[in-house]
Amino acid sequence: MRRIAAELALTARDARLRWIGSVLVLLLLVTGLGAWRDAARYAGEVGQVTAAERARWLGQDAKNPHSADHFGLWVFRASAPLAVLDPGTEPYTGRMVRVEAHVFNEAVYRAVQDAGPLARSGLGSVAEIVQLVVPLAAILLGFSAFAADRKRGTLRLALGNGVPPGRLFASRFTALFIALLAVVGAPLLGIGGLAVVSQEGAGWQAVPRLFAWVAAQLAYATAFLLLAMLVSLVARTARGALAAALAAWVVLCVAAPRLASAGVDAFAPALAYRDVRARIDAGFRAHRTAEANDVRAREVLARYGVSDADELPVDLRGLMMSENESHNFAVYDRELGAFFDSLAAQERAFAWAGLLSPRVALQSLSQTLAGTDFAQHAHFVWAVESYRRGISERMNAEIRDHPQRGGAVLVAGPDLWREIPPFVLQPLPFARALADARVPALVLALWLGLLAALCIPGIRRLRP
Amino acid sequence: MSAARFPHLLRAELRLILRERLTWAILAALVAALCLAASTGAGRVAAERGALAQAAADGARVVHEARAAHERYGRPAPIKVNYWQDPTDAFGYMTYFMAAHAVKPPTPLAVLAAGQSDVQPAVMRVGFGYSTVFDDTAYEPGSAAKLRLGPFDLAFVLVYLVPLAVIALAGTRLSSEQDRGILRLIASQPIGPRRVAGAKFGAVALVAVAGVLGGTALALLVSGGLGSLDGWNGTLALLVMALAAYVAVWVAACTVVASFWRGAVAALAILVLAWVCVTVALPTALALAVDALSPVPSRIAAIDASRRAQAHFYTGAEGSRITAAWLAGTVPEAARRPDLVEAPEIKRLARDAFYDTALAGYRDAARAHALAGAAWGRRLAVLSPATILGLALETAAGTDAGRHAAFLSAGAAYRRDLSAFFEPRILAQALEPRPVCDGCPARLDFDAYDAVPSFAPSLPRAAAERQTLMALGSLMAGALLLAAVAHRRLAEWPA
Repeated sequence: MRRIAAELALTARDARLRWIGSVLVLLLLVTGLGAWRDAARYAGEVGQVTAAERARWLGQDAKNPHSADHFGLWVFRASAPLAVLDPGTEPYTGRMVRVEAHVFNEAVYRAVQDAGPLARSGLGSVAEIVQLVVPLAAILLGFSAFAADRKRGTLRLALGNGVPPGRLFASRFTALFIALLAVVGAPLLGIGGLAVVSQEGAGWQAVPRLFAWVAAQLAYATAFLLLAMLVSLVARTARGALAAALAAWVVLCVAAPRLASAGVDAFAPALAYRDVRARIDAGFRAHRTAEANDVRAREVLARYGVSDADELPVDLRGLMMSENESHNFAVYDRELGAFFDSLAAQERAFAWAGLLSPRVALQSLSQTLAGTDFAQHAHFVWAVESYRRGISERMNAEIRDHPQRGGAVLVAGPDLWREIPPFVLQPLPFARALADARVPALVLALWLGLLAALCIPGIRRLRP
Repeated sequence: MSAARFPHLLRAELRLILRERLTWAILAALVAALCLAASTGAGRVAAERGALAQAAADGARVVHEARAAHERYGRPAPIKVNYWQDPTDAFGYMTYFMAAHAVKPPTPLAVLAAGQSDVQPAVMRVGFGYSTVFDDTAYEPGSAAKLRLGPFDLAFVLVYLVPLAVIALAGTRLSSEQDRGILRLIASQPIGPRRVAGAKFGAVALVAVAGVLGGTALALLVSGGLGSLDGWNGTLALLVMALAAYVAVWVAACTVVASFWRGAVAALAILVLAWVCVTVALPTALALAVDALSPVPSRIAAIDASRRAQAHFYTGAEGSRITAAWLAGTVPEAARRPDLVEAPEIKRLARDAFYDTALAGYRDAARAHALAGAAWGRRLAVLSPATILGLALETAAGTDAGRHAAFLSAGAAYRRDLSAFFEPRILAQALEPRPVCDGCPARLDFDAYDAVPSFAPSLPRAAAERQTLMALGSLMAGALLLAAVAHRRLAEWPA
């Protein structure tokens, strides 16, 4: 402990730590508070418009239920509380869906569409700062751990005093790790704590998510600290250590993530959305022609053993709409189900692509723990679709079960509108996130283990 | 040493650099990255061309099927055809059949940069079927992880990795000699630091420029991603010069850092931090500035407004009143036909006109924001060498935000053109319904499928040339400025 305290005192006196720490804390706080302000504004807007939409739905005039189905409503996806730290997929996926008859609408208006190209440069969120800048900070703090002493000749002095190299390494590593805890862990916990306390987080289990998330970021930072100390153990000069560590940073944090992106696209391609939409259109086209409609109408009459629609115990139009929707639901389930499955498979491939770069592994792990991953988006999209189908089915059933004779049109009122509950989305539970996080967490642990294992022979061979 | 001996010194430095294994390793890695990037770019461009061909085929299929249906329903038959199944009804065709697309074709240099193409589609289906609030509803959902990491395209390699390669080649020149004590030996010769630095960094610049330009040309040739350059040769030549100037900026930056005489460790650290600032931190700051100068209008507020308009239209007799007023303004002679107010197609046209008026302010604000954001982005991009080169590559590739903003406006104008084409035909059919024949299921007689206006795509060659020229000027100014600073600082050897 005394040795650690001494190393800690040395580290604290190092001007590099003050500079690096100040810049990092400032960057994290400015970005985090900006994201928190935006999240609060978005949540306020969503709350207001959701209430207004509910009032509009309930307050609509008496009309045919199918018209009410077309009147529909908009639903909005609330942000995860930890999106302030890691927005994950949220800026790249729409968060507003028009719920209306017949159409499985896309979630529209992605923040990235409005942000412009400069916003994608790499430091737009706290998570991106951690992924790109924190490794650089760890390298700049750790590259001289042994190489500089070796150059100055003080390493000979330290080893000559009988300190085992392993203990020397452990004390220096611990001191630098504590420094990282202070300049990275503390601000992250502070911003995350503010987000958790100030936002509506029902169902999110935000506190355990926050601790798991911060732990993942620190594990990532530690990997780069180990990398810097490894090259410091091996390199003969501080210059060599810095050059090697920076080269590793460029490869792992800058080039490899985009290579991973190209690789995943090549080896686990997702279905092209326009092909999926084309297949859906084709699936509908054949079904909605006048001839197909006529055949189905005659089948219904034959099923009930009547020759005229007015003799049916149900409303023909309502029944056919209901059956049409069932057909459409099946087409949507088949085509969009396959599409979402292919995207989920690609996301899983990205988790394994973390073997190329710890940054890729962290990105996958971080967004999963923050609740801003693709699984949460898919959950939202399908929950909205299920809600939409619920409305359509109820409205069609109302028409079907109240047959109108002689061309009369059924009119329904507020009693029917009230039967439709408000849209409420329960986020996927934290346990699901932990299950999804297994692969990226394992990959990140492999990086940590590999770098720690590589340090061992370096420590054994440590020479002045 | 006389100036006449300088070329000898330069040649000697060139030989030394070319003998270093590190030089060849860096150049080989760079060429490999360029080839991979060009290949992914070529794949992207091929996919975009495929999407355009698919859209054209879709349009042709719809016309073919409409003609077939027109013929089928134009014969007496006991079948009932609703308006949404009937292409002889102009309103039915416009709403449920027509496949009209606004398209943004790739430029001949599209392989250079993915730009915003991964979040902003090159094909938009223009329709009237279901309610939309803005022009830019359409997009192609895909892997968000891929979008977050960004594409491995030529722009990434040229803007981000080339400076790192230059730093690896030139970052410790002079400073490593200083660390090893060789600098004293050099300083004892009758030669000033300017000539030595000029030879060392000049040689690096020659190698780097040759490597980057040669590697890029090779990558483009191997990938086959370059389109026919008809009329785009000038833009390409300017881009080549801008790229050379970008390399020169980074070599000059290495020279300035070497002139600090702080040793190799400090030089490397300063250069990498400078790289982070120029390629990552500064663009992020510029994005914040663009955000502040051109705030994003609230999408949610616009949606709320659209719903208020919708609720208003469907409350009480408002819809009929609005339709009657619209009809009276559009077709005065329709006053004799009060029944038309309740015709679904007339009500829909009146409703859409009402929505358009109610949302005009929001739509204009969104278009103005897209255009202003792109304009501010162009102005502020000159503040960082990385952003100005990146923007030049994107503009040449036709994947920049400015082109997309213009494309969205053109798409909206195209929608208005289509509306102007169909509206009189729908009104004429409503005023005077004329079936194809008695007893046939076809309700009306619309058959002008081939006359439907098509979208006129544009290739922004002038904008690309202008932006590339701007990039070239800025980068040359930057390189000269840094070279002047280095020249001034390298007046004497360090003590």
